[in-house]
Amino acid sequence: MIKKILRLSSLLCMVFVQLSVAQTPDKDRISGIFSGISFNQFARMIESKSDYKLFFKPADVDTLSININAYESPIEDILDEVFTSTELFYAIDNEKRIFISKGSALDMRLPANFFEVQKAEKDLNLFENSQQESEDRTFAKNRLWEIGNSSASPGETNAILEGKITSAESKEPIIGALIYTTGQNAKSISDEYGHYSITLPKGRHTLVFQNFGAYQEQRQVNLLGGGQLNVEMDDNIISLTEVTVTSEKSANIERPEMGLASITVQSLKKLPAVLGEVDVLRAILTLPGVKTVGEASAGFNVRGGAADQNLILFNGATIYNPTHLFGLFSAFNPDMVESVDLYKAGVPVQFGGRLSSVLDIKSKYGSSEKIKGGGGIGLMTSRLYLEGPISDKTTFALGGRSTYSNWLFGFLDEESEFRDSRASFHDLNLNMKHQINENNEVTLSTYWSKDSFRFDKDTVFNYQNRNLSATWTHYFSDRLEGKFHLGHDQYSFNIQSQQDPLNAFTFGFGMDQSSWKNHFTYDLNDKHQLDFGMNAIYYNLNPGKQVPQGSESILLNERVTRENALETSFFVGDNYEFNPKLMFSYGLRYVIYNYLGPNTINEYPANTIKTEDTKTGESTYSSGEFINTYQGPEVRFSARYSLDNFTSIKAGYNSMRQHLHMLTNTSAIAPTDTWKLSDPHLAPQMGQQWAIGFFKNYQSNIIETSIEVYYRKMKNLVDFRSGASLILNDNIEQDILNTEGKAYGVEMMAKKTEGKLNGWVSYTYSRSLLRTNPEELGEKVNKGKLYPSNFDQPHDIMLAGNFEFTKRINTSVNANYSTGRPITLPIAKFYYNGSERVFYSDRNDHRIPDYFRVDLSFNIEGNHKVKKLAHASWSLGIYNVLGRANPYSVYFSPENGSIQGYKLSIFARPIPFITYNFKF
Amino acid sequence: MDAVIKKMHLPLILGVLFVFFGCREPFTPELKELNESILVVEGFIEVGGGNTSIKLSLASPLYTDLPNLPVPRAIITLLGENGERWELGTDNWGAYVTDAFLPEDEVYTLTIDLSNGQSYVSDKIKPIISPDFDITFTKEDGNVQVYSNTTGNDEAEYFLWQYDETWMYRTPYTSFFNYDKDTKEMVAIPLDQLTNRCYNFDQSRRVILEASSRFENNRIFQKELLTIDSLSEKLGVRYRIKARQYAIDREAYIFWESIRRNSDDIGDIFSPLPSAVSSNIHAIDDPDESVIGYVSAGKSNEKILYINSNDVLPWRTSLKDYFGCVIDTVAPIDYEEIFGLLNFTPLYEYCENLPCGGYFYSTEGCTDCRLRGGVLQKPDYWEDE
Repeated sequence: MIKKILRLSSLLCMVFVQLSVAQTPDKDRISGIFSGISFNQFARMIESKSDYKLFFKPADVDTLSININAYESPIEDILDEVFTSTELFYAIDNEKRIFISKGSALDMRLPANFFEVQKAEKDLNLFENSQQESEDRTFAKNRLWEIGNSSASPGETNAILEGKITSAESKEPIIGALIYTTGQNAKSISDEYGHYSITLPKGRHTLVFQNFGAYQEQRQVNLLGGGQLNVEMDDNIISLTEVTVTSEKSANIERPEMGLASITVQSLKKLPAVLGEVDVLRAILTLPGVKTVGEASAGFNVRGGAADQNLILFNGATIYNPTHLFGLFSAFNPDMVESVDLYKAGVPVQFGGRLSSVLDIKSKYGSSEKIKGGGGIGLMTSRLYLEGPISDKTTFALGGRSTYSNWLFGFLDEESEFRDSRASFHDLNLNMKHQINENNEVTLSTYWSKDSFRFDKDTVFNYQNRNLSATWTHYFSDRLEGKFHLGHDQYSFNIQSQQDPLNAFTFGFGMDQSSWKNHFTYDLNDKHQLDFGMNAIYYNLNPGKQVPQGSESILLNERVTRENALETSFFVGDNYEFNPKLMFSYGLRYVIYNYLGPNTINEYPANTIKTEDTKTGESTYSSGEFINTYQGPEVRFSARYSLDNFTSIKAGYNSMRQHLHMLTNTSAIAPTDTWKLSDPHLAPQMGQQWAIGFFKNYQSNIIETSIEVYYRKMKNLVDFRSGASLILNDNIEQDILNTEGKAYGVEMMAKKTEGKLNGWVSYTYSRSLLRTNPEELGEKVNKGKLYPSNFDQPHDIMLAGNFEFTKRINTSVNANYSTGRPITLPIAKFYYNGSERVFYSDRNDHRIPDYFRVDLSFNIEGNHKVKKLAHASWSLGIYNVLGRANPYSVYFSPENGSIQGYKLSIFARPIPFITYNFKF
Repeated sequence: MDAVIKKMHLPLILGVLFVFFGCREPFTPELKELNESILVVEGFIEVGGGNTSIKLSLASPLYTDLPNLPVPRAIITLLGENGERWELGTDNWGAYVTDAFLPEDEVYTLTIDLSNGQSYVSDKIKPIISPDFDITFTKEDGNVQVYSNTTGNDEAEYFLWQYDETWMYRTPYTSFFNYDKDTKEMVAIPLDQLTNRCYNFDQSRRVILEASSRFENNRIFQKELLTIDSLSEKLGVRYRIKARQYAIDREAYIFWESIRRNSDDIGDIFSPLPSAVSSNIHAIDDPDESVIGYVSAGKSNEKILYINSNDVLPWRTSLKDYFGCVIDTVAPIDYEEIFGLLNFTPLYEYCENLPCGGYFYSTEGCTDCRLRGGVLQKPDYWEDE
């Protein structure tokens, strides 16, 4: 030991001589597992694996135990990790000697003017206002950088510091790195070219550059005026501490929009899943303001709106049926999902066409680094994805899922009526991206999902989504970006029945939709960011068609006339930062809807009830002829006022129009629910929403709280006369009851975003009420009084908690309480046509019992070795731990001559699940 | 179409989930009080000769055991467009009938005056003449289906069927003797008082509806009226079905369809919301008062079909009630124990060796058909083979 110290002191002087010689950072990376060893052993291993020599006092390190896995890591990163929360510091010289000391690092610099000549030489290379970062990064960290010219703008108190952040290894720009100062609240994020810009008061600052999942860099600056500072950062591989979406931190305070809920893929994967499938749609049900009428139903309801009022976009393509197995699983492969945004209010101006919400799901376009993939194997489904570069400019991502649930049916009794059932589904998603040059990029996105279902040998249900879209992004200049999107979306449903040769048929309906969108974003100046463009959608709807099958079938060949329409909208919006405290986002969207021929429209006298008897005639329109036009503006407005850095108030108003109506008279979305376009008899649904919110964060944005209050009004909603048949109805206008609605509520949420224990708790009070339009001439539901909608569940409490026991094991709990949904129950009985029958109360006059469910899941990661075949993890858990039989429905049926009430539950017992996930 | 899709067990989608994870349990939800009495009107105005019958009752709260509350002492009058009126007679049990000849080309209004002073009036009711129809049956997978076949026209597009069933059935064994417990003698039963053969009755309980416009040439072919399950006693000997076909208008069809849906498809995941059941009868004082029932008018048709056991051979009847039916013999010395104390039923004499010494016996359940709900008396309308 003494010998070593001697060596140290005798060599010290040589160090300085070589300090300014360029270091080659790419060599001497260290890999290995250092687990549970003493520092002494660690030092010997490092010395054996590399050219480094370590110098230290044994007494300083004897309490230290090393636990670290490294893969081609720079020695600095390893030592940083090792010495975290110790009093030890280190210094490395150019001879690869590492000196470890207690209290402070050995200062291996000479006084600033020691190498006057070299420094002067360097300075010559500098630009006027810029200082190139020294190659010696240890040095760079600690020296004081003087930036700017104090005489250039002596009057200003602030100055702008700009620069570029690059990777030390690859020299690629680092995107999304956070730049902030200690002691100041200013911060900035590097853009896609690695550029950053931050406004700071003149004077001395400690700047911190934080890249996600990587180490941070620090610079001491003395800011004299505007200037430039470029920084190189290490890409880090030892990311034992996962840094989750730091850029989103305090976004809830900063952004002007309200009612936006984003779910990160990480938090998505931590939520307990039914049957082990990570599920986008189930995850959004955990958000305040989002409800469903029951488990395993395809639709969701946002802020008191119907299930057909949600626009579901997958890479910009409209998905008409987002579920598999009629609602059991969502149709999106979780591995392919990049981000999920749900707009409950403050819908951005480029979106439109639905009244309640926009669910914007974006998926991956592939890594540009290397081919990688992953997947999962569960009890009922499996999934696989692969992504990577095809060439240096082209990347792809491909994902697929399939089910093998048929084995379940084999367990059924021989006599069970479901034994002959078969269910299969799969979905495929291929995305590609090609960078033509710096200013042009094209992406291609395809999506295909298919479900096939059979309950007995002779009847098969099928439905499928098919989507294809291409987007060209062009950067006209630094400020103007244009996106041009061309897409075709298809949804079709059909039933084939051979059960009875006399009644054999196929029945189906489908939607074909072609869309063209262009969307420009223009940074007018620091204060204004404009969005403008147009969307055009051509709808070609087959509302229903029945074809008899086989020669024996006596059914008619029936079809409801195909419907065509063109929906064109022009929009312009502005994000206006009036001052740092006050910000507006406002826009206007003008929508023109043309209902097109060929079609035949029934005519009725004005102000009379529409029935077969009052019909006066028909008018026929030829192909492409405008039958009628609806047009009008949609307004989007939201404002944010920051009281301080952690508190803001927001308010918003928006109006929406919807020309596409789902025809349903069930409480859940049924697979046979077909669609209808607005026509001369069916005006577009219109809705307005007012909202106000208060947002406050605590403990440097780790705890976010919010209260939002909203009020909505809707009109031209669609309800039906009693007994209306919605299938193959060519005169549906005779059965439609024009309905209006209102909804209001308050949503409160507290969220802890970081720490071992994280998650959120929310409480929502909301109402959703409907009323037959007083001017409606047909029947009036509940005699024209207001009545609760099917999804009016006033109280709703949600808890989603996640606790990390260790880095490898975390557990999640998900608990949900809500008021039971409204239901219409019989209140009296009478004898009619040979049997006892029941008389129903007013619509939705009762409620099913309250809903309460707790789910639990564990995620167990494999070891963190960097170099291995595949990274594996297990997720296992229990859905509905308490086994509570939450009723889906309550109903009565005659049993042995008397009427007996029943409650029906779908997931009535604890359902365990286990899924094996892997990545390579 | 709707019905066809329904028939394909859409609710079974739920069922599949349900089988694995679900559960259905009896449940008694709290219901809001029924704070008004709801009048129920059921009947048909039969024109062109025939019986018109209207029944009045009140709906009762769901959680009571009262089956049916008839409304007697009301006055029901039929009004023609040009002032003619017919009053219905009453049986004081809520049924009101007339066999007056009602013209076919009349438009009728029904008025009901209850004894408590409340009055009701119907919308105008136009009679529809039902076209001819026939009933047929087939045997498939061991079950027998009975169908109706008809052809609609411009006037008569919507159809409703109701039927009455009568069937003859036999016990496994016949008792020809009675044991007189007082005299301890065997008494022969007169042949016309034997209890081995009964007649039983039932009626349609489902709503059977169809629209002819769904089919080519308006031809309704093999509309199922009912299925008689294999092993049923109904076809054990001889069976009679009397079906009645009514042609109704669209509004009535919607009413019946609502009744059907509210009875058949409630509570499943994709079940439609319960329909508000409309009525063509309204309270004069309060048009918003709930009234149940839809009275149609027209000329209905009736068809009768007999099915004998040997028309559907092989037909095996199997009833749980008869599983334990055996016969045994008893010596005279044991008569008192077997017949007097244990209440077995003697069948006929045991005569292996003459003179006959003893009786065959079985139980009352295996020899008395009345215990299964039937009557011994042959109905007047019954035609033997």
